[in-house]
Amino acid sequence: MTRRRLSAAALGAAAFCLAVPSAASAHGIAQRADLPIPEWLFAWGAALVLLVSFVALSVLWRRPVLEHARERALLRVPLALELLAGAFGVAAFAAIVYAGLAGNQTATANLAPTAIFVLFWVGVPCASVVLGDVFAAISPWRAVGRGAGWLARRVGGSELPAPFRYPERLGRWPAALGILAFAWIELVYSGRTDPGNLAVLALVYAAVMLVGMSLYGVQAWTANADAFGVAFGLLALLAPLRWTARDLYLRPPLAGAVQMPQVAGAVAVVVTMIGTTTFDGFSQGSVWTGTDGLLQRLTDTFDDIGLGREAAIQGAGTVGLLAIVLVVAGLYRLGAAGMHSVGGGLSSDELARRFAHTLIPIAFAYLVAHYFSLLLFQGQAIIFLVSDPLGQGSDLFGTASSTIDYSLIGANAIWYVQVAALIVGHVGALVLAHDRALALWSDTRIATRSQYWMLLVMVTFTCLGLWLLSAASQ
Amino acid sequence: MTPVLAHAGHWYHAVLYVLPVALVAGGLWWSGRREAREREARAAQRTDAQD
Repeated sequence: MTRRRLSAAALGAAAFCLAVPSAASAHGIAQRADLPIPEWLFAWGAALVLLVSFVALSVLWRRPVLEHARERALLRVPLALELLAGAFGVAAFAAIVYAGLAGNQTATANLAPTAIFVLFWVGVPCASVVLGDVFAAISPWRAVGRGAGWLARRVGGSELPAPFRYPERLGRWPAALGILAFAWIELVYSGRTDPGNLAVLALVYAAVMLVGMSLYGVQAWTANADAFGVAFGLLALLAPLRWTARDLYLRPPLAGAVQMPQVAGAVAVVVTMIGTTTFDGFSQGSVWTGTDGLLQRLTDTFDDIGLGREAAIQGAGTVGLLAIVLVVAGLYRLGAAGMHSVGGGLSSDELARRFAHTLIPIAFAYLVAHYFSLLLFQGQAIIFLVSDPLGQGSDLFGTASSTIDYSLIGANAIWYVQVAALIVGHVGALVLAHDRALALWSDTRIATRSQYWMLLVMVTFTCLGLWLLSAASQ
Repeated sequence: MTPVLAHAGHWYHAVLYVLPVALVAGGLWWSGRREAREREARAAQRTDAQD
């Protein structure tokens, strides 16, 4: 592909992403009032920050640093901590599933929906970026799998058959599909607010994990096929802390991201994480939900071919979700193709794999930008839901009467946090990409030129994210 | 008024978010062209010096 065609394609993709009317409430709780400058000017400012960061990196960052960053041991981790964390995870899983099955089936009164969609899907990633891979410790299926393995070794001794070799070609594709499936349940599935459905789906997922671990071993399966283990593990690579079985290490922030395994499906996982969050924002805006919006048109199309109304709406959502994930994947592939055009002998596919870790901070930035207010406000519901998990009037810990404090933070402050998250995330991505480019291309000038393309990808993702957020107040 | 202009109120807002992307893309394209011209000029100078 020539440079001119690449440039045209990149601009076309960017325009497709952005040149549609306002969309997305992105879980905003309140309307913003009287920002000192128009919202679109924040996008200009963010683009300028990225441009200045790019120039500063080119001038001041002349050799790969993160690729060779060292970590130091902080302390020994007692075995009891691992056992306690595993037991906590299993107990929490059991409580959520029981609440979903036996409790009040109103979503806001039952522990299960808030625990799964807010605390688990948003809270655990935030904790992972600060504390490291906490989910590996509290994962209920991993804890049960390890416990079962330990028991089997004690009983069966050395006669236990070795697990199958995990298929290399499968890589992390099962995890990417798992994230897509979870997003589909969260954003498209008509029964997503039914606690009973969520509990059954959680049990099904846990059963699949247990079968997979028994076939391929706990480590190989959870590192590749457990959607949540993989997604949260990737975000944990940004953390300054790294946990092993018995040790805790300290490392520079971001440095862990360069360790991201370049296996099959690795790019698909991060692209799916970004794409599904993008669709969450997009699907709440007028382009999607308007009277003559895409949802209406697609639903009518599915209706016309004989699907029922509910199935037609879900069909439309499925198409939208897949389309947005593909657009995000296409943008990234354009960046990789652009890098390929500067030379160096690496194919676009190889470059896409080698730079996939640069998408991790973007995935986290999108998550914070879209779900920060949800975590802050709906997260408070956990305080009363733990006291009354079934929604049947109990008060186990004396907190059942607490309420959500919506005055905790103002709408403008939320906007600033969202803008800051997007800028910091994309600057982090630029840093990772620049560091990797210096490691791949020995000529600094070629390395910098290759990053023109990544800069364009980052600016596009930043403006797309800000556009989705700003449209919430339209 | 054409349909596109009649609906400008719907899309002009998004254009403001496309512009930074277009400007960066344009700047990088121009920068790439300039570097290519410089490389060609240097190569031509080396050829002249050898002759």
